Amino acid sequence: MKNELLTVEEASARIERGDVITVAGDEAILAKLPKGNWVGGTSVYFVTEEGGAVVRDKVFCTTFEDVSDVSVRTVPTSDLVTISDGYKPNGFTIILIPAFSDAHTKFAVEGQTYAGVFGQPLVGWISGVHLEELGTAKPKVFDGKTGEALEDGAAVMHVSVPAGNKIGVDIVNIFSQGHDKKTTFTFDSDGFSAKTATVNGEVVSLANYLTDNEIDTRLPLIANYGGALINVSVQAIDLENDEVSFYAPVMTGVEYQLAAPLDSYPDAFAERLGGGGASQYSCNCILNYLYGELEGQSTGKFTGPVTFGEIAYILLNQTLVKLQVQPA
Amino acid sequence: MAVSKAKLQQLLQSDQDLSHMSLATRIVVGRLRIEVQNSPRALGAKTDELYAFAAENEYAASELTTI
Repeated sequence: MKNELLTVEEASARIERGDVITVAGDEAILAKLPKGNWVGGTSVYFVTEEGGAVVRDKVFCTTFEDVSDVSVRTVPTSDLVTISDGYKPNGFTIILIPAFSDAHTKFAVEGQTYAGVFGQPLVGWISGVHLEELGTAKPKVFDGKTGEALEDGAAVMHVSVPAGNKIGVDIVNIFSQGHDKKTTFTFDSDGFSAKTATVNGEVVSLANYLTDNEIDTRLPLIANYGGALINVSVQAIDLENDEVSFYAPVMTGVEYQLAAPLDSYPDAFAERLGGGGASQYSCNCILNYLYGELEGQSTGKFTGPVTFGEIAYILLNQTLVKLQVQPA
Repeated sequence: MAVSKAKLQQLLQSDQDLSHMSLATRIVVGRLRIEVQNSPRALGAKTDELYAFAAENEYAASELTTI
């Protein structure tokens, strides 16, 4: 697996020779790429070996080598439930979804209940735009087979590798539960926003609670799924409408705790990531990029797009997702 | 399959750490545990769901036999 920032000409040459690639970049450049075995998503934020950067004149490409079979397809929002139908033997699947789309919401809330979804590694990300263009530009994903840009649905690439190769997917969450272990949050409905939460058994206005207690909303709420720590990040507190919005849905009955504060984002990444990453597919969250002030700061060998949400079977926030394929 | 439904039932009622297992298994068991906590009467159905997950996925069956 090879991770590179390429010019449009370089990326086009790779696609034309049949390489199997995921591409992240500015919409204008993605639209220039020829048809082929690729999926793409809009992002102008990247983690490079030199550090975080905004790049508009190149695309970030991950090339999957030694591929046995590949298929690229568009999955409409209504068909997301059938995502695993395209899984190939001894393979993995890349899924890209535009931020703020119906597919984003549907996958976030229902994805983990789709039949067969855990049958093989499913990784990907939520495409975005430059933060100064929120509201004016629309996040998109590209089906490289047709060249079509999508504002909803998913661009999906099913990949098969030779038997014996080991495919591994995992997440790196630099946060841990425990800002205040005695304080737990639960919600009475699933969704990307909440007016109330049950905090230590008492139903409260969540917007007022976070404000009155001067909670640092850069810290996510964290649920513990059998040792996998899953973040839900706060997007905004709307005191006027008494509502808190999130970048991923809170789920009914799940117990959340606020994350413990970090002394240093870059140090936390360095500690948790170790020395790997050079030949792995990865993506990292825009909130880590912003709150961690990662622009110009290196996070080790893990390079890739900075995204509006990460996918490792389910939608994640403030998390790095990594996929590794080890030859037999 | 080597793992019994009784073992899986115990797993869903425990808070045993699964950090050594694959991300997929952790997510599935984590979700099912939450559903059982919220609705203890669903334990049988959720155990069946976990058993089916293990039956469908060799990696999960292999991991769950270690519990």
